[in-house]
Amino acid sequence: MALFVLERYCDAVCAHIRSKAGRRETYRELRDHLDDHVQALTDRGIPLDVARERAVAAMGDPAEVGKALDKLYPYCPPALPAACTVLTVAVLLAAWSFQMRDERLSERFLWPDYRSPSQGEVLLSTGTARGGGKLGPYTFTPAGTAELVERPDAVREDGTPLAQLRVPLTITWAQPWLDEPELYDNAPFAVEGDPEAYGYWSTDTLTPLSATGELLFTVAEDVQSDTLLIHDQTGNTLRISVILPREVTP
Amino acid sequence: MRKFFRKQRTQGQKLRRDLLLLLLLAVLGWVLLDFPCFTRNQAFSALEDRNFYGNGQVLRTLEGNYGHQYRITRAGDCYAWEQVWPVLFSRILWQPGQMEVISDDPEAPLVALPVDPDFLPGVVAVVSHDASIVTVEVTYPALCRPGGPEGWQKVTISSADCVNNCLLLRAPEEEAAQLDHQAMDALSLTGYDAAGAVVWRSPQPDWSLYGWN
Repeated sequence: MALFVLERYCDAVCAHIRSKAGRRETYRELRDHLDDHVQALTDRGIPLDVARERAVAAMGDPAEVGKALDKLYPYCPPALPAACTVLTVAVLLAAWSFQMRDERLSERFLWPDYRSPSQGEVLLSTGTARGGGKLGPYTFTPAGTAELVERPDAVREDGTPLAQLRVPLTITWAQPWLDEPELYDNAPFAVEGDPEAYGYWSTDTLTPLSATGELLFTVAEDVQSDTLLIHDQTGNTLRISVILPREVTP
Repeated sequence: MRKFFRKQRTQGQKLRRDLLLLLLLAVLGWVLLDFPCFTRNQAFSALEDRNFYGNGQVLRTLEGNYGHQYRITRAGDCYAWEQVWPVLFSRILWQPGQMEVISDDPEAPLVALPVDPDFLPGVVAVVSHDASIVTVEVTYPALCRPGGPEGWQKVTISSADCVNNCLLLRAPEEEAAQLDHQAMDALSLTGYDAAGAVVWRSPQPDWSLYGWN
């Protein structure tokens, strides 16, 4: 209908303007301009519908007009203010969290420490570790090569020379609020058949759902195979078998 | 009027977008707060899981400074005191704290469990294996008042506050700090029956061998 010629033209022009405020302002000004032009034409005796068609035609291609006007209005994506607000709040929360919690969160993302060989450390043999399993909510999995390292001047009361058995392990859990198991104070480790052996856990890397590190046991130097035990307070026990067949040639 | 170049969002779409943003913000906050637990019991449960401690029977509950919550529990042959603390003092989110497990001593009618010295100073929990013991007395050396060898003095506190065979004793504030640094075997325990007669007394600790004013 000729009645909506002006509206359709204004819509077509504004369709190319991305800024909402720009669309509003352009529509209003364009419509006023077209109304003035139509009024001027009708004052000369031209019929209304013809005047509207001529006024629209005089404006030119609506796409080109719209693109030209779009450049006059800076565009801001609607989600940008909200995204900036969220990002700002997140950064502030992170900064505050780190400050208040003594970098506890950063401890959950430990990067691997480079371990330089200790001076005088002699590798006696290497081997494999098998076994592991689930203890409570934690899954223990042997990872990597087991090593037997000499400990100079370390002997038991009966004169048995001692060495350090290193067994790399990966511990995983499904709930991020659990954190790594408390293996330092409780020390639930033992060696089957060797009550004098003692061990402890050393963490290398830590994430919210896993920890890698080594079980370190002090054992007799001539050990070739051992079964490591990890037990909990309820009597459940995991077994990790370590076999050290390969002596390292100095 | 025809629609403009960009399709107008409906109210429902805007609401979904805003809710998604709020959810993402909540998840981010949860991560930055180091994955807190949503309930106190969940935090206690996580603490027990971390320490490979079975589901214990709760003997006593206490509240310490800054909203820290404590439980004395028993699982099998072990006792433990467990601590959780509220994140941002909110009591909405909780973090597992510390836990100390002590093996029971069936030979001893009384077993002492000193609780967290930082946020619950001066509190001792004593588990009783003897139903006839209704009052427990704890004696320990404290450097707080003039007198005694090198400024130390014996302090004695007692309590009949017994629930589930677990008695709670609280040291006076000025002696509380001294109590926290005592090893468990430095506490002298005495149990009394309802008539006030001594039922059991712990072996004399080393400090009792010194002279006291």
